[in-house]
Amino acid sequence: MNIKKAILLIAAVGVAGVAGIPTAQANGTTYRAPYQAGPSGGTAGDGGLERTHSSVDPATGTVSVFQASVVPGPVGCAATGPMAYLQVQHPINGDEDKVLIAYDDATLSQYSWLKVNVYAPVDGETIAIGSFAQRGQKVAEDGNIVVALDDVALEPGSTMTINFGIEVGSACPNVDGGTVKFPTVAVN
Amino acid sequence: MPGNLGEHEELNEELPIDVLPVSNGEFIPPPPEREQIQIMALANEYSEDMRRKFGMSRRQFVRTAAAYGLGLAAINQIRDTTWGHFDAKADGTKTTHACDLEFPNAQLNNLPGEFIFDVQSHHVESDGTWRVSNPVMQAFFAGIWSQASPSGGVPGRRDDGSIRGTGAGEIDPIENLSRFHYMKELYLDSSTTMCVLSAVPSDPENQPLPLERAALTVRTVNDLANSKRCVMHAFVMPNRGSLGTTSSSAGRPPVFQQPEFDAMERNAVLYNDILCGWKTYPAWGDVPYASGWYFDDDLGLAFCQHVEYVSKKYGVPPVIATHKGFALPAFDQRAASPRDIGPAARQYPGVRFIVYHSGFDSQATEEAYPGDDKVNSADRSVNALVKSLRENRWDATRFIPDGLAHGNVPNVWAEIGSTWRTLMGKPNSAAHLLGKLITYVGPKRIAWGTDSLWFGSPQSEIVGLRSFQMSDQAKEFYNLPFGLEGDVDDPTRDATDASSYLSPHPHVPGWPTDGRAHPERTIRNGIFGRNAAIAYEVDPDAAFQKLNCDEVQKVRDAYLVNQYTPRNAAPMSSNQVLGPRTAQELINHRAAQPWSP
Repeated sequence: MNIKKAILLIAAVGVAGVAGIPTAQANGTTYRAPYQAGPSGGTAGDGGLERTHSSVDPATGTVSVFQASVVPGPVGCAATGPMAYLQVQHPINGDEDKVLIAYDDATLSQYSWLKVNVYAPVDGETIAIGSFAQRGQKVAEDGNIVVALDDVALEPGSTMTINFGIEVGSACPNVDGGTVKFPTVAVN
Repeated sequence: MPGNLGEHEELNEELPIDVLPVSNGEFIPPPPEREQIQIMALANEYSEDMRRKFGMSRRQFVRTAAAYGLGLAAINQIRDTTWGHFDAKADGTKTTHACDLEFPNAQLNNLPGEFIFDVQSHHVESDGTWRVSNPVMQAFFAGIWSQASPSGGVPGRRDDGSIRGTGAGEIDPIENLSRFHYMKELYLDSSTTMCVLSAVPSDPENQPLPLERAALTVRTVNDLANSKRCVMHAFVMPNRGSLGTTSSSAGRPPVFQQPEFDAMERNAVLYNDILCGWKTYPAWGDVPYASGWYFDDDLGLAFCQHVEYVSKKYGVPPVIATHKGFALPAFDQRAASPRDIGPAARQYPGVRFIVYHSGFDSQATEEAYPGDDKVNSADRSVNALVKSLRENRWDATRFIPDGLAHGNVPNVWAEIGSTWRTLMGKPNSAAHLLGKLITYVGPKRIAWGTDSLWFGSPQSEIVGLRSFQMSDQAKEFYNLPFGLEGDVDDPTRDATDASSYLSPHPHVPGWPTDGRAHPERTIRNGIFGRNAAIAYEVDPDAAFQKLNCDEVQKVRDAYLVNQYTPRNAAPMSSNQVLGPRTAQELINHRAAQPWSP
């Protein structure tokens, strides 16, 4: 690839915001899939009475989490439900004051939450500087999440971690969960 | 010590420290672990050895302070104590010296600085109409709490002539959960100085302790004592009439929400002198396994707003005590998650949240907080409570005053009723429970509760906390160099050391400078009651002045042998740990839909 072609490719990436490459804009940075896989956990669902599933597809920005337990009452009922997040690591410039996350096709039961947690180092310790939780239910819903960041002294050059995904509550019986796709994450 | 206790067959011979699984009725007790069985066997061996050496009957011996010490020593012997252990002076004793019977931590009278404020206590109205209108509720109580059970038959006498009933021996077993036993087990058989009589979820017609009868108990205790030893909650069900919907889907308030709010105002007027807050079960609804609500949804926020309104108008403390953790059958268990405490507490800083059970749900062990990435805040766990606070930037680390190492959440108290009992037999778990609550909720924000009368007398739990010590490893990990003896405002100073109070503290206003030890300022004594006193607007020192010479104290003093000495014994106390021991015991009676609306 010669230099001219390389420049054209980089320009195309910048304009189109192609996967994996953040798009710097006048008022912030926008990220698109593929993202990184974020935290996940909860009951494994392979030994108890409940069944769980959690998955993330960083390539498409999709998170899916479910739990089902068909036995009523607390017999063998796990106290922990599943969760799964995608993640963006954003280099801090010090001017950030909010995170905007778009979601598509969100389908969530009433005991599932769309969650966003934003962390950054402040005074040498990584702490939460913004959060969002929205309870289902949702059916194939598109929308936007705005997370206002706390008014703290962000350290330019350090990294902001943005986790976005789904958490699901546990009960017996329950059939809870959801799936959602995150097309963009913007930091302004 | 009376010598003829052997003739008192109504007094059981149970050991005072019992680590076997037992339920408060809100969770299935797990099968006993091998170590738990070993602990009880070892404690039994120790106790038999000692009582024989002193020529005492078993009934006598299990009511001595030494019997408590031996129980804790057995826990130390069997369990891993990397993170914590019990200061059990009887540990390893093999002599027959009389002082072996001493174990000061077991005495019924309060230790220096101690003000034990049990913010989660219960009883039922033993002659209430609920026993006729809701017989399944009676069956439930009889099954769920062994002291209220006729042990497989109708009340009466067994073939050998003894009275049926496995607990305090009432012919009508439900009487063992009555007002009389509430007063005996809590105020006479334990070191408890003050209680909040709380509520259980039920509609008014089937309520096993109607509010006016709870008020009778509170006023009886206070009249007998001639001081304020008891206050109460009123149960509120802001989702009554939601008919299985959740506020996020119904789009309108539940049918009976406004009547519930109106009742709050009526009760605030009727019981203004003794009503100290509101009890909620967000997982309890009209329809089993549905109708749960959260403090951060429309319904919950409306309730918080009304609590503030009623507080301002009528002067009732703006306290919400809420069940979080243990999954109750037929409840919408998802709403027992403490996930909503962080957002609601942040949004309503004027409301004080007492988080019953600290979100704990009978996990096998409790470990250090693993980090937000490892925790689902929608779980039922202590970690979920911590994450809820942390992700909402409302945990104690956000409120550390300049120059200090620990902070306190302004308006959240982590209550440890049933949680402490469950974890006390596992010193490592107990250390992590307290360590992370101190770190993330605050040394002044852990509240003492026991769920008694459900378990009988709470004395063994009190003795356990009095004796619990964090290991050096735990002290270092949680930055608590003096463990639970640290000063509640500055845990890096030893409150039991007079030299900590020689000069003003540069960062703590009002720091004592009298050059004396201040045991009332220890984290331990904060947990025991002084922390909750802040939430409930009680002045513990003023109250204690009255309590020391009140009539209840006189009765308790007369009840003791060797009072005010390390050889304190309560010859007529009931040691039995109560509650269902197996899943089957619980299931049998839950099948009768005991909490039916």
